[in-house]
Amino acid sequence: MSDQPAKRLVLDGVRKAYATDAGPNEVLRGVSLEVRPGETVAIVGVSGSGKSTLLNIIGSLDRATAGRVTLGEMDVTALEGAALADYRRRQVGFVFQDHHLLPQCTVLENVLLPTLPMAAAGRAGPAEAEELLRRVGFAGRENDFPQHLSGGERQRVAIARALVNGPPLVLCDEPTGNLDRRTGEAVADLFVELAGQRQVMMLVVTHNLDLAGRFSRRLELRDGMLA
Amino acid sequence: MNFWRLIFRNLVYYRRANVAVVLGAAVGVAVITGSLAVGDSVTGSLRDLAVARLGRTAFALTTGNFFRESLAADLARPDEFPKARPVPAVMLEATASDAESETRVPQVTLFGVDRRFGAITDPADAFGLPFTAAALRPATRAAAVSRSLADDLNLRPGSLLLVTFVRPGLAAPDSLFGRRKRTEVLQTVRLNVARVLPEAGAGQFSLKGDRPRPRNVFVSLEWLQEQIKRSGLANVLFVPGVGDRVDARGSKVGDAEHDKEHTLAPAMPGLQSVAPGLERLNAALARTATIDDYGLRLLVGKEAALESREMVLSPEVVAAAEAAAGQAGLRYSETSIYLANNITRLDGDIRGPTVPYSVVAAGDFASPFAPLVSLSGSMLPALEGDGVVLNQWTADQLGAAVGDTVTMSFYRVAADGSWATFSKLFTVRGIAAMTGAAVDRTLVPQFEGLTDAPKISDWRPPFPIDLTRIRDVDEAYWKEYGPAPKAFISAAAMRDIWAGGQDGRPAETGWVTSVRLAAANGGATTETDLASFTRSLTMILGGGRGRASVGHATLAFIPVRQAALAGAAAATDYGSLLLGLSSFLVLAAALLVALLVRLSVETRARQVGLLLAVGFTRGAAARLLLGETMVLIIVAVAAGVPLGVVYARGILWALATMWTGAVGSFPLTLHVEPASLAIGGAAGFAVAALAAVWAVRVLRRGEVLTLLGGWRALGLSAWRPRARVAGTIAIISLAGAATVLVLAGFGHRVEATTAFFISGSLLLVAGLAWTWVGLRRAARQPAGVALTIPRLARRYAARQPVRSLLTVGLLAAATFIIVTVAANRQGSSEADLARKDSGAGGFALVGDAPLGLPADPGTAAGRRELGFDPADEARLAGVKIYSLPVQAGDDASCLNMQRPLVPRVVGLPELLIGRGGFSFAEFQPLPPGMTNPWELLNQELPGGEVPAIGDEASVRWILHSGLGGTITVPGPRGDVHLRIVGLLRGSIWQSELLVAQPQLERRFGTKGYRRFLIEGPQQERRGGSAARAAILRYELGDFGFDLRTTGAVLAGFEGVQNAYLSSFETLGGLGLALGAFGLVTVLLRNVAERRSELALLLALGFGRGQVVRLVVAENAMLTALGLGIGLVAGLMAAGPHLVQAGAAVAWAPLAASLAAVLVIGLGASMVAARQAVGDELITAIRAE
Repeated sequence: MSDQPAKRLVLDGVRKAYATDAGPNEVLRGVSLEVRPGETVAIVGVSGSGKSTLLNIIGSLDRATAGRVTLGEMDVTALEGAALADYRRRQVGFVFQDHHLLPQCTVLENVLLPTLPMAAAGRAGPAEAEELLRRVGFAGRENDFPQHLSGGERQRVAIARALVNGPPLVLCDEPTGNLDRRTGEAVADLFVELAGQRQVMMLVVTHNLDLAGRFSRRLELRDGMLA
Repeated sequence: MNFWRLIFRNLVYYRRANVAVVLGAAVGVAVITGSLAVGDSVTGSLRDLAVARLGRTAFALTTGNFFRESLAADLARPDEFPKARPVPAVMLEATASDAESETRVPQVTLFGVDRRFGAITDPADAFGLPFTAAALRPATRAAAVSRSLADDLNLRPGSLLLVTFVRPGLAAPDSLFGRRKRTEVLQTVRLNVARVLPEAGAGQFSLKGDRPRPRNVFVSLEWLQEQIKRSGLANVLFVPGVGDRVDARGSKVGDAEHDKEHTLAPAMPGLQSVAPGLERLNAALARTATIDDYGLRLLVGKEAALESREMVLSPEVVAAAEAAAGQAGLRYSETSIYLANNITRLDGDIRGPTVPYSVVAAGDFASPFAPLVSLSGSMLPALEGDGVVLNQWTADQLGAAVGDTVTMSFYRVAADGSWATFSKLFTVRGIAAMTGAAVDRTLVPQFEGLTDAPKISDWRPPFPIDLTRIRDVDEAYWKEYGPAPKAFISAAAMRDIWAGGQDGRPAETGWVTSVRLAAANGGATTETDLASFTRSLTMILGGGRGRASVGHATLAFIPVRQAALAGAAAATDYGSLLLGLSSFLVLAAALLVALLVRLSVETRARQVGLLLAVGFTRGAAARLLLGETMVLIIVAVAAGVPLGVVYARGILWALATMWTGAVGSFPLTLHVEPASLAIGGAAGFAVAALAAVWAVRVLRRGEVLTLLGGWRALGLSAWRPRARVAGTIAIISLAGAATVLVLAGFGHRVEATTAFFISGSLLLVAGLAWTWVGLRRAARQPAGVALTIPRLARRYAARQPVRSLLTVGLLAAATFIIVTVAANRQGSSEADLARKDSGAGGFALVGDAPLGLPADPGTAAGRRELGFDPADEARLAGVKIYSLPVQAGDDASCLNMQRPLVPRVVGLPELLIGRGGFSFAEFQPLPPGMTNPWELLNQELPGGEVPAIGDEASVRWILHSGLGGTITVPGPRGDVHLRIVGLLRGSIWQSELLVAQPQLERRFGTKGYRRFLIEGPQQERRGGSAARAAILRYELGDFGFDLRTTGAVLAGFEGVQNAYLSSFETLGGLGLALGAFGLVTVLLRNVAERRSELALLLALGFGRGQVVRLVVAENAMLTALGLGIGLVAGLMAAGPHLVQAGAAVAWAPLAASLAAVLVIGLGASMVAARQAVGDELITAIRAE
């Protein structure tokens, strides 16, 4: 269960264009979307369709050229500085395709990494982190280092890290891209389970249609717009 | 999990890179700390040397005149300073030679001491010299010599030693009574070496700070007094401190801390006021000293007569005697005598009878003094103008009557030391009866060889006499009346005679030979009156400036310990100097730290992106990285500070070996001040921290996604200045360089050397700016241009433009500095020295005679006086010798590490001033009509200042003054303010200041010649010059005379500069090595990052050799660019030095250094590239 009141994610006419020598290249051309708590949404599309771009904008890792992204009452696209960091810290959990675990930290420390910028009070501790690892099926190896884990295991750790601060929104960019089919399915099931249990909104970018079918909604990005 | 745990994890995980950062930062800390420690070591060593050479001496009385040995006991009386324990001794400047060879050693100090001297150095045995009567047995002529002298002359116990010195107590050499013949001026004693002293204690005892290895000879005080006919007399008093330090009351005042507190910057005149107890000590001296101690004697009779042992009373003594007489209620009269070669009556133009060799007197000859009475019994009036009173005997001999004209001829000493005669006409105003003053032999002071001779024919005068002219009547007069004057003239006429007959020119050294005192009532002077007079006189003389003066009667203690500590503050701030010389090394270390931290940050870009993505603020992420770096820098400081001590040791070793020219023979030992360690650590920390902060900045601009993309994406998207901006900078720099050169070339608005250096620096900037432009352009492949390996290499270099530019910049800066420094080396060829405008002024040889020559060897007459072999005249034909008087003082050149408190001053004769020569860096505007800047020395300056010329290097960097500045030097009659009116460039005069000779004689009373410039005939072969030098050494060696070539003198000075340049080159070379290390690190890093790309090239069909050539080409381009830009800019900056005569550029080592860097860079890239493409292909492609 998310630690925060239920919020909806709303995208309104989000556009993104990249400047090139040949002129602006518009990747997103007015994407509008609404996601409710507990929903798992798969965003599919061909390579270069802007799936990751859309996710990055929602996660504030990138800036939209136009349009608006709101989470509850918060206008994400207008956030700056400390507010932006707080958004990333408390409102969003990001699962990257390359998981991005720190090789010098243990599994447990990697999970607790997002808690460091938090104030001591209200910060999740080792117990919560271990519980999350148990939830993602990774109990008992908290002191291992990432380089000793398989791809799937690293992804599970990355999922636990994304959830440690109890965000209402979890964004996953090709989370199963580097995994075999069976592991990928297991991870996908995990997403669905966690979304239901914790009432988080889960947006998953994937090119795997079978995987997309496991989620509650499937949206396709085509020509910069959601179909 | 917390921040510190994360920092710890990061430190451990990236330990290899972190070690490199620590090493780089530690180097910077070590260099800064070590430089400061070198400064501490120089200061500390000089202080140690200053204190060690003085032993326990706190104060010293060294007047050059002799005083009672019992003065020491008088000062130590219970009612004076019982704890002061003054130690009397005789101290003479001498030369020494081995009895069996002709080797002579100048600057030897001969000490006559007794057991009391043990209180000065230390108790016996610890320093090898028991100062007992048994040890220095007079009968055996036993002597103890210092190790340095023993080494010079190969002495051992039992060796025979000859020591030559100037006989003390002689009249001024340029006066009638001054002796100039070598045999009369010098005295040589034969000694048996009883002991060779170690280089400590007595063996290194010296009051002079510029002699790191003093040459001392110790003999029995009693025996030496007897040899110089000064029994019971001494000329130096040492006052030891109690414990480490003591004031004049005997209280211990502290130790090293006290020394530091009283290390002073001002010149000697200011020292007395801060030396504790000095005033009281000198006050006690004034109370206990008698007139004997001032070289005076009082002859008691109806009239008392105050005389000097040196024949003439100084103006100061005369003034003091007048004041004392007034205080004692006595009548006072100045009396002077001179010897007339002839007194001849004139009948018109016809010369009548003559009386030879007659004493002529001037003074007050009226009551209460012995009067001149006429033949009729009436008192003769005082004389004025050209009036003369003859005693009856003389008048009868001449057949002269009142109104007759007589002419008198006198000797005077010509400028060259020869005897010249001049005459004066007088009108007889009276004939004195043979009574009273007319037969008063006491009017003539005692003069050994004259007044004590039984007959005129037994005279041994310093001037030539023709004994055939002595008649029986003259001997009869002598027998009856002795030296009683035969004629009496006015005081004005007598002053004129003492001045050599040159109207209007004052007698420089005085003219009064005695002061007569009489009771005001005409009765005999009483003991009480005379006691009152002597008491007043000694108090007046002792209560003057409180400063000892050579050649004058003033007695005063000087605080030698405080003066030594003040001088121990080095003339040059070696700490700052080393820091400056090491600046490039520090810069290189800072750049290396920045480079390594930057590389580390780039590596972790992805991690930083992750931190931002999970909610860290940029500040928090940056603090995390900086926190890690600060931990590394703290470790670097902890390692670098002790390394700095090691660095300092290394520098001191280098100063004692490779760069010995910088410090000469001054022994340096390591001294480390805690403050320097703290400053070095803090400064090193600051430098490294700044470099790290700069390196971390790159992350502040990176977007999260970019950072998540890793170093590749970071490198592609990092903000960079536009090529246009760099191009503008390049153009402006080039324009600036050209402009500065134009300003220098036309109108001389900028000094040439400065202009070229600025141009070179701007050229360096332009070169680097163009490099940036080239890199930015290379990043874009023009459409349609074929891709070649060189073009591909340029593209690779352009992909990390900041890294590439840093590499090029580091190499270019290092090369620029090394080339510039190498080009500043100085060396003078013989052809250069022969030029009149060279630093040698066209002179081949320069000579020094520490004991002072009484006559001028530059004239035939002077050489005769000095006893030259007549056959030498032919051998010396065509040689010009300029003889210069020298006022003793400290060496003001860079060869003297210690701060010169009182610089040496040399007097230039008019002949040398008119000759001109040498080269001026600048001089004050010349008055209309004056074309020779040397003539500025003859100016009359307001406020009594004396114009002086000095070498620019000494005046600016050692004496810390400049053109128009004033340097104050103590003189016998008060401070002398020398105003700098000209600065010479690179001359042989770096050790002293130059004034006109008359100024030196007038203001300092300097006599004798101590410095000589020898100018040989044109086209003289080297053999001829050496032969003449040998003649001069042989004839004048007893005076300690020695010759050096002007080339050797200049080489000594240039050696210091070149030593500093060598040190800068070496340290710059270390910086270059550090830069090379950075280059190698960057090269290896570049290759490692591109392993997958290089493997891809292999997969596309490139051969391994081609790939290696690609990598080497890129690095060769960067290395060659850096070296090339630095070389061109450096040559431009050093242009003026390269083209001028005297440049001694060591091209070979310079080329070798640069070649080494090129080879290292290319070699490293080749090795790295071969390793990178040697792996399994697919592994390399997948590698990250």
